[in-house]
Amino acid sequence: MKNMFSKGLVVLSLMIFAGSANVMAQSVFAEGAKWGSKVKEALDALELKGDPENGYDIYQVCAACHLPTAWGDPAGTFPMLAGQHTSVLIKQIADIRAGNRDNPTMYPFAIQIEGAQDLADVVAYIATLPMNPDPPTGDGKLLKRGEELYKVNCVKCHKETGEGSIKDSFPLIGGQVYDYIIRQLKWIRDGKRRNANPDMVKQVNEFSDEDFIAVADYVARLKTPNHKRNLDELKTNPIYKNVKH
Amino acid sequence: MKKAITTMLLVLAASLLFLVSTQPVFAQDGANLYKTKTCIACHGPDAKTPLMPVYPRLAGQNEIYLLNQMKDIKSGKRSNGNSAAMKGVMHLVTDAEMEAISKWLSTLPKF
Repeated sequence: MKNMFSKGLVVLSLMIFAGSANVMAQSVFAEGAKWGSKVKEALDALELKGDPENGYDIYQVCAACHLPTAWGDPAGTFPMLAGQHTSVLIKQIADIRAGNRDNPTMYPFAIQIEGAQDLADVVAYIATLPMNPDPPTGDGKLLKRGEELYKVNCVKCHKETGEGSIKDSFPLIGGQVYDYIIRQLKWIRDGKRRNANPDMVKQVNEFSDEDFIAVADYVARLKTPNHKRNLDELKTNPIYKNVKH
Repeated sequence: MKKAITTMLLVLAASLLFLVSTQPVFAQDGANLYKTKTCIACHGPDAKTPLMPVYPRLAGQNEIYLLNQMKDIKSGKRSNGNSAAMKGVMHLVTDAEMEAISKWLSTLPKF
């Protein structure tokens, strides 16, 4: 953790576009989020009021892969962003920019977002988008095992509904794209996703690949409170016209 | 005689139907695939205004060269430079789709 911290500090100072002074501020967001990124622009963005209209303009670049609906790609290449907590989105983008999370595909897109206000704006826009009411799932064969694993291992942080916590920056995972969940779980267990909460890494340490398939299938089917938000968008906005609702 | 002609016409119709149904994805689909398979995001809407200056322009490039690069990046045979950025999305395209995209790209104006 400390090594990653100082590595992130070096990378940050080289790469932050604005060249702003590299002050590592204490987290002001929540006690529970102290494990999270100390990237300054992330901490700043968390405190700013985002403008969803400017966020819409910024999002157009993201839409090419995450789709205008922000439902991501059914094959799991790009995650669903709709319904995700603003704190989580901010942390992930800031971590990708700072080199705390390795994602060469995302990196050039993450650096298009210039500074804390733009970051706050784009996540404010994403927050207006409804979640996918019918996300891709697995084959349903390991659901019982998935449910048992989830209840024992995951409820404490991600909650019964899979909604996680905006305050603690625990991702909302309910309804996330099935194949994406599996890949992230494997990468968290195997250390390839370096910006994961250390408690999370410990929690999934003993999981087998098949356990991940089971739990991902269960989680992909969960409906969080955020699923009920912005539902009228599904009915009125033409980009959702093919959705059954 | 009449029976022979009818049979021949039927065979001809069936052959044409077979030919059409097994045609590879047409070049005009290449334009659409370039968008839906997300190539557009990094290489730009005109395939010559890439997101990063170090990403290649593709417009007007040689069709076979493009196809070979895509295949090699997808298989991992080409793993230099920024191919890591591209490898993650290559499973989105089949061989036929890569052919269609390459063909379309090769027709675009270079400048």
